[in-house]
Amino acid sequence: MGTLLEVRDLRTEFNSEGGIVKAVDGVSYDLQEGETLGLVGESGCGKSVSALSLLRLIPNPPGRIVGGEVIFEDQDLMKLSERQMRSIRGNKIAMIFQEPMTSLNPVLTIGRQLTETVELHMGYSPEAAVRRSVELLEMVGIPDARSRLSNYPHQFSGGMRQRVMIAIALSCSPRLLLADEATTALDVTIQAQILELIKNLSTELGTAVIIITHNLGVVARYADRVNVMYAGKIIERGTADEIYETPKHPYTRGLLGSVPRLDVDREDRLASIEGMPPDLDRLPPGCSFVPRCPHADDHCRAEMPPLSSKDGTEHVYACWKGHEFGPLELVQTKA
Amino acid sequence: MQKYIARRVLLFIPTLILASILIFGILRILPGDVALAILGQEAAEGGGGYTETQIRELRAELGLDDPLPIQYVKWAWSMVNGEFGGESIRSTEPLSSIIARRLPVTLQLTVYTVLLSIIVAVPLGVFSALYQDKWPDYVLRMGAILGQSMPNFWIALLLLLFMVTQIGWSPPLGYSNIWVDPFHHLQIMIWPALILAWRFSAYMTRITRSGMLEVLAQDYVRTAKAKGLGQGLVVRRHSLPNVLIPVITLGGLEVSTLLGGTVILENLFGIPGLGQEIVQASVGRDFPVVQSLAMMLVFFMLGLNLVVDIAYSYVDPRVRYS
Repeated sequence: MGTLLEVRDLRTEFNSEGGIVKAVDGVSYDLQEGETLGLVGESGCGKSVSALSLLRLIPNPPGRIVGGEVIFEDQDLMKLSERQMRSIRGNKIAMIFQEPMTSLNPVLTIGRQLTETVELHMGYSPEAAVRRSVELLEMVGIPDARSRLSNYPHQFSGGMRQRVMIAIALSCSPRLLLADEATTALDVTIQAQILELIKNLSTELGTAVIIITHNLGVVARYADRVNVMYAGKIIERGTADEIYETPKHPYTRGLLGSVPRLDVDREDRLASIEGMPPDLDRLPPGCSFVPRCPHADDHCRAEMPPLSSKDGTEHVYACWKGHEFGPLELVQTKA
Repeated sequence: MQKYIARRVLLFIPTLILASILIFGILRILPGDVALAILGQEAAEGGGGYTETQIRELRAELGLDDPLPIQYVKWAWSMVNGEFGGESIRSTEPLSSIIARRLPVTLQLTVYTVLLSIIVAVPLGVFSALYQDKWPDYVLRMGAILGQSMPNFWIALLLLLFMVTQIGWSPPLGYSNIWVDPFHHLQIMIWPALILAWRFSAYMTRITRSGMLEVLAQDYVRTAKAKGLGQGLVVRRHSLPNVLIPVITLGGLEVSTLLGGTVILENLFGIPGLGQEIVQASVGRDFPVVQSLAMMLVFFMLGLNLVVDIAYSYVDPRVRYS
């Protein structure tokens, strides 16, 4: 398996009233063909913006990709013309969005919204596109697919709409699928169905997947590797096992500690990360996590630690003290 | 769909009754005795006088002696049975023939204005939104504000003055039917239509622009872009139909303002439509004509609203299937 995607020092900024917001601030990672990568973090940490940046779909103004390279199948997406970029969107890289209720066009039939992608990218005739659409709807488990083609989005439930979104995203057998909080808005039982569907279909088609979520359970089950993002930067990366067993960054540790668990006494207080996510236009000079970090010292305040590991393994973290932390014990205090 | 239309039509009935009571009531409240006015004019023309008996006889003849509710019911029934309130007091022409002669003219002027406005306003509104806060947008918005803030009759007077004094030409005074002499017809109709369309399209451009900006920020437009569609398809297929929903709704309501404008411009340009007749009849205290034509305008307006509702359900599947 080769490398499918290489992101190098990606930077995306937004103009806001308070100044320039560095939503994605020098993010680098790579992705192997067929791999499933988790991108985790709080709301506003830059997860979605980093995904939209790959497709160059940042609304401009106010947003702008100011630097970096995105090497996909040996070409830098940032250097392509808009026309070349369009031939990649929805074709080689597809995206599923968070809001199934609003991501489909209310005045177009499901059929039209399915057929247009294959007509555009695969050059299908209208009849062939309809046949392909029926196959796609059956593939994502929508019963009575042929007659459903003439239905409108408001005649589908949220879970069904997300299945339609998946059908659209997978219609051209993309090399890479970006699932941006694809299940967040759904019931828990439906979430599991949708995630299994994405996993099975991506395995079948050999599609690499980037799962963007704040749901750590989802990442633990489905991702091969995990990137943890905080304030526009990746602050820890490792395999799912490494991240869950021995998280090295205090933020990751806090994140994992704040997941409610059934096997811990209910009387205990749930651990939470103190403070609020930082304002991205007013970041401290050193490590962004300093204001909320119980272990911070002068070194942390002065200098941002690089993403590295003490022992040279693939499990890297941006913390001066990361090597001091052992396997995560549930840090919970008596209420 | 038939059920939907039937429901809308049924809703007409209470609206029509309410409007007819209002129109009827207002005309009875107005000061001035119709019989006196008619006799006074005849007397002035004939050089003689008139007697109390003559006044009483004329009042009885016009049906003004009946109690108001009976007068109302008589009039309302005549609107239904096709007499449309009898005949004109001044010319004794039956109202059915007055309406048959004048309604098509007003209808044509309205249709020209609306068509002209849609053809101009929708593309300009989309263009303005796509170039938001750049110079084409500023120019278009300025033109729209001018169109909305200058009164129709004032522009009409300036235009007529300009044509007469500067180019020595004015629109023909006599009206021609479009089937008889289309060129002559357009020569007179184009000016009021252009003036009305400036205002109407200014409004439509603004709604289209703001609707387009709203739609372009929607999630489904992002989805369309993420599919790799070009800007043409994103605008035509994914945005425009959604923009048309508010444009049709608000545009339909604005047609009532447009009708007010046609009444004035018909008078200025000597166009023999409903508006011109209403003004002349009011001046001559020809109350059967005024009340029946006002009623026709209400009817016309409701008909337009029905067309708007049907068009609306055509663009929005959520309405069609409810």
